[in-house]
Amino acid sequence: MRALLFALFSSVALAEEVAAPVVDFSKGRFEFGTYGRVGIGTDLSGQTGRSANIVSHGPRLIEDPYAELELRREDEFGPVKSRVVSTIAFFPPFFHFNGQSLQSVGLRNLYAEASVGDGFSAWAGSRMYRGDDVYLLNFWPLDDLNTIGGGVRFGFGKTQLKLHAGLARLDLPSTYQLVVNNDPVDFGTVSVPRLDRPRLIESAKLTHEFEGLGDVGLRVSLYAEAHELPAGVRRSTVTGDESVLPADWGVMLGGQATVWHEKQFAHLWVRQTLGLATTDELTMPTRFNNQLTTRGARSTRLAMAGGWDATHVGIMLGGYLDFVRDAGISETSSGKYDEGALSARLQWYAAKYFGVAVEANVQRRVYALVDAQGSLRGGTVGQLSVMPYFSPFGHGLFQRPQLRLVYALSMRDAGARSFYGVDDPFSRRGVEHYAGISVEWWFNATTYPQR
Amino acid sequence: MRFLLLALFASACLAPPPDAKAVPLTTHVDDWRDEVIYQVLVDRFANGDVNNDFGVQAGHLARFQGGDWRGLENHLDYFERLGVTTLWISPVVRNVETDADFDAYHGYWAQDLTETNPHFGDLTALRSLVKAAHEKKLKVVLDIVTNHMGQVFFYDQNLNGKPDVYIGGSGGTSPVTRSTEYDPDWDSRGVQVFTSLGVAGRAPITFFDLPETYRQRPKPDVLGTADAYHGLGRTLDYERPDQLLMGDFPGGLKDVATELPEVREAMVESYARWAELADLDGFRIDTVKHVEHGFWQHFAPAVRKRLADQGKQKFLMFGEAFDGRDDLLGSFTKPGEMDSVFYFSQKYVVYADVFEKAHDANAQRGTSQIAWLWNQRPTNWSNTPQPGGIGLAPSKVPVNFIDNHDTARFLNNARGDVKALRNALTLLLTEEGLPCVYYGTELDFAGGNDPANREVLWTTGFDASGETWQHLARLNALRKQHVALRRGDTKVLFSTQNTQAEDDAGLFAFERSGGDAGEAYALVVLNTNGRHTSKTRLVTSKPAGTLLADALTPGPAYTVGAGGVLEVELPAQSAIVLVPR
Repeated sequence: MRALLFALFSSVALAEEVAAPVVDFSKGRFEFGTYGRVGIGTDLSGQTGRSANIVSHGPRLIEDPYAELELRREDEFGPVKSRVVSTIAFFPPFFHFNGQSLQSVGLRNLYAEASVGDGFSAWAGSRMYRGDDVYLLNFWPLDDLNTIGGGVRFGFGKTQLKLHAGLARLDLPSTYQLVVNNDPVDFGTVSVPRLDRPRLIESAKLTHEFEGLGDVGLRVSLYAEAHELPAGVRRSTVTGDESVLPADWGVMLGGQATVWHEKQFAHLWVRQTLGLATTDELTMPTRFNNQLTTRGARSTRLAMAGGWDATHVGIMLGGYLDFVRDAGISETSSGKYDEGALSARLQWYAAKYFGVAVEANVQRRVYALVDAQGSLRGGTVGQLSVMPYFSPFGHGLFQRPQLRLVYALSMRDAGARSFYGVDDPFSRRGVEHYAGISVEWWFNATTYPQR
Repeated sequence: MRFLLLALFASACLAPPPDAKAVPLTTHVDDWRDEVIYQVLVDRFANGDVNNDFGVQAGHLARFQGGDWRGLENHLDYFERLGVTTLWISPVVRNVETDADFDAYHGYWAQDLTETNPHFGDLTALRSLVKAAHEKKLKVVLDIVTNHMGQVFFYDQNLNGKPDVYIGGSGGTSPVTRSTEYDPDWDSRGVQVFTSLGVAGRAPITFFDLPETYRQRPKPDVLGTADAYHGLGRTLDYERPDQLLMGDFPGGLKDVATELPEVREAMVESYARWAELADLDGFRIDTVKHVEHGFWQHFAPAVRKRLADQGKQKFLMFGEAFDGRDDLLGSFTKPGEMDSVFYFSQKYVVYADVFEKAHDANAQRGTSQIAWLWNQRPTNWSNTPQPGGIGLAPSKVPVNFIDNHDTARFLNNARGDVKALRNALTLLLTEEGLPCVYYGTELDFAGGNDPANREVLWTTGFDASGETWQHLARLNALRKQHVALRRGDTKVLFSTQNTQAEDDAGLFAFERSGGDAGEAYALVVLNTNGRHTSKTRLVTSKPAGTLLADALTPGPAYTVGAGGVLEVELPAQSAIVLVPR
């Protein structure tokens, strides 16, 4: 034992000897990055314009404002690079809209990451951990995790392996409960966590970039997630009755292929979830099998995105299909649905700083709910939009900032109207207008790399 | 390859479930006397789908417990094994969710007659239940309410635009008064506005708009208007016809103006629609004595005709008049009204007075009460089948029961006397009429008044090993086997006023034969006293030398003596059902 301790001590001492270089932090730098979008519009009948989407990831023509401010510290010393990233996110409504000075703010990144050469990096902290998106739908169809944890990346030439594990424990009745106990040492009470069910998520992503295809790039990724939720006990604060919430788990398997050539690119994703992984980590499942778990839940997703940029025009495409089935025993359920969206945007670079975008899209959701005639309840919305814009930094599908005037015409069928509450004008109107102004920007943000 | 992809895509897409569509209406019943009804409170029988357990507070009986139609469907074999043949399910329509910290788990606080109560499932689940029941030869009867809706409005008596509960009085010598705008007392002028200067005309009816509890303007639309309600306040005196018919039901349940033609049509449309949507076999109709006869004379024929036009005959409609007066019960069976009513007079005169008190000689009444009551039925109840009805005279098909969800359970009143319960069940299943068993009776449930009598059943594990369960199953099998017990006429052979130490105390005997049973024969003898063996001589309609055997408990044969005489001797609280050997 003593020999073992000595050996350990020696190794630590040796490590100190080796890893004790003086780092000159004065050469480091602070970076500022941001992503944001702010828009407002009217429905031309005097009310605030709002999104007509009926699917989970509908077109982003009319979307809520959102902004991220990112402050980073970056240092470099020999082969070692490090950064500390903090990102504050602002959620609507903003003060100038509702006059409320209390703003919804979230800390979406707060982590440190360090790399040694190209072969290894590690991070730990709170992080948005994402892959590629479908821009037109504001949608990350494969890897999009928000946890507190850590990860490593191993690089082997053109192949990368990323591993990550993190926790998310939402303040929801099914995941967290404080109860009051008598204070064991004094008068009064103490609060005790009676229920604490963090979701543990592990992910792995293996990516290989193929060579030898000339000007064409090809990247293929395999991706997997495992989700685990421990059992817990929830207590009625009135009667003390306790109910057991069983452990749960789920997995996701998916893949992505991306090809690009000069200013053209295309992504294709496929994803299958089982059990708990069918519900993302920022929500909790609300429909279960009769054992109160999500075993039996599943979803299948196909998604695509693409872009083609030329001198005078650019085209973007985006779309997805989701087949979602909850774990409930009932064949009819709002937790069982098919949905999808397809969107195409054409940008005409009319002048050096000005352009016009035209978008057409369609979205549809069908629930496993039936009406009295036995037909499934489904709804469809189609949209056409024209967006003249000012792009001070010139042309490009992803050139930002972009200041836009937006007109969108939305058409919803009777099924889509039936998805809204009876007092909602959307439940009565088949045609919707939106006229507004918006701006979108991003630069130098880790979560929104320059494209 | 393209076809393969298309096929894969199509198979991944949703399709309507097989039970989503309505089935053509058909008649599933031959003779309602062949049926045994099992009354089930859906919320309490079995939980088949946890996803509709909204607001459940397990173990607290005034709250939702989680039972649903899927749960019933999952346990149809339970009913088959028990031998009951018809399910009477609690109301299916959407209710005011909760009121004064009590939940509408029972279904009697209707808010929307056009939608299902989401706690129990959707239309597909209801259709699936009925279809699966029919496949097992079980029938389904739906509980409906036309007299009142849930507490969907308040009377704004002080015109301040909100519901108030107040206690008045100067604090000096003036009397303290208490009033609630949710459920004010009867006022024949209509509930009044009042101020410090006195009354000031009718108080406006103000509908709630609380979507979170479905406490909002009712549907169909005609029921969402103030004109559709009497607005006279809570019934205080049930002996006064105006209050009985037009007063709000206790608990603030708002009395519907069923005399209005548009209301009548709405009720026919709303409820016939459910029968059509789910291929139901009948209605149990709530609180019929609180609705004028004219309504029933419109409602019942209209429903019968509408369903008959679509192929459904013998649609049973039986009413609940919570009253011990046999003539009042019978009044609802007059031409054009109900096929039958609950035999409440029998519940009191027979099951409460005779069977529940088997151990108290001073409290127990003699079995002569049974004969006395039964003799009144041909006079008080209609002897003519309803036109287009079930084809049976109401007097021949009373809905017999020993307890239900509105009364304390038999065992509660009988202080746990399970022998009394089993003896009562023997009469229930052998007497003339349509037997109706309240869920949990077979498991010796013993709850007191509402909601204690609305126990959760699935926590018992559906245990079929108990003696009462076995006894009831045996009786159901016996009834199925012997047509005399189902369709035979009744002749009382013996009854007595004796309840003390007399040799024949508590004995009761009746024959079931003839009528639609032809030559089939059964002789039922019960000893209702709980203290000693009783004996007597019966004069049967059978010739000397006829051998009779106890079909309930196998044993030595009984031989009819000269003049049809049969000596019987039965231990305390026992029965024999003799059939020709």
